[in-house]
Amino acid sequence: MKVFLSFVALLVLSLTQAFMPVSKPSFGRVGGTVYMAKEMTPEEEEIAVEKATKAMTAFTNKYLQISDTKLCADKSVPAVVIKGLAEHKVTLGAPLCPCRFYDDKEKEAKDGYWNCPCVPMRERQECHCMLFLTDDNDFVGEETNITFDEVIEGSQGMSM
Amino acid sequence: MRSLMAAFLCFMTAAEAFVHCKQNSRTLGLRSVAFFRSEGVLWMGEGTEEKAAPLVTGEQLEIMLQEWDTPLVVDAYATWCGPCLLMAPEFEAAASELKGKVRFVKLDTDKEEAMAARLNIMGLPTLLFLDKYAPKEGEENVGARAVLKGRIEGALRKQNILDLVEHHFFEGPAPKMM
Repeated sequence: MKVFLSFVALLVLSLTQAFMPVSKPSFGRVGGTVYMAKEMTPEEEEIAVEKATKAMTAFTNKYLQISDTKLCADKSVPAVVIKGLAEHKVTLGAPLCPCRFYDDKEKEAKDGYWNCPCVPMRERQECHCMLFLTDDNDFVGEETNITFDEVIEGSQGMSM
Repeated sequence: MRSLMAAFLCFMTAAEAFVHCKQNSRTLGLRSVAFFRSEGVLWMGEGTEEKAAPLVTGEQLEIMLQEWDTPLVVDAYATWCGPCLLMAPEFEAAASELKGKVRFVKLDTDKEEAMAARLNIMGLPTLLFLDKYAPKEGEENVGARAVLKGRIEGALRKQNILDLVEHHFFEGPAPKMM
């Protein structure tokens, strides 16, 4: 009887674990080691990234006006960058420039130098992500606005 | 009764393994990969067509840095780097044009952090132009295998890449961008 009850308890425990949703954690890096910053279900993460993407799209359009710069003629370039900024905003808490390699992303996000708009952009209008382009750039287009739908369409098929 | 319990236990274990396996596949974002041979080395690449500029791991690049039949150009990039996306077809086109003469490879810095750090990658994309180390007459051979002939950050057109290859590896003139 005891054996049977133990067996039933084990089965119930297995059932509970089998049907619990798997959380996709949000990771941060410190000194090259990956740490789990906070737990998010895939659905929560999807919502967070969508919200951040909308926010970064709005920021981009606003900053294009402020800096008097334009978008790249190929709109998939700013689309991908905006998506990258949104991803970093969710995983690191700040829109760290996605066009650089960092030894320690969390440290850089806290430091702020490369958080968009980065210091080179603010001081010298130098955006190596090609998100904010001056008229003398070979890749500059004519547009100063990008929609959320364009960002989603332009960044489709990519994933971290 | 015992056999019934054993059968039920086996079923639940299999069901749990199936659920976690599917969820983990989605979590890991597994994609189909293809294996192909290029210059005698087995590469793991995305998609099924052989690319002129294959994606390499840090380990594969380490092997390539020991073999110097032809010079090597490395494109260090990241997933959400817009200029990297812009340059990708230009890099592939340059690789196709110089196939057999120069090796072109791509390194995903999001996935190969150790190699990216070792190559001192900062801005993306970064192109590295590497060749066999040949000590000059009278110079002590320090045991180095490779020498970095040049590096450049930012998206480039195919012709710019070809001009840089010509300059760094085949004594061509320095391009105007330099």
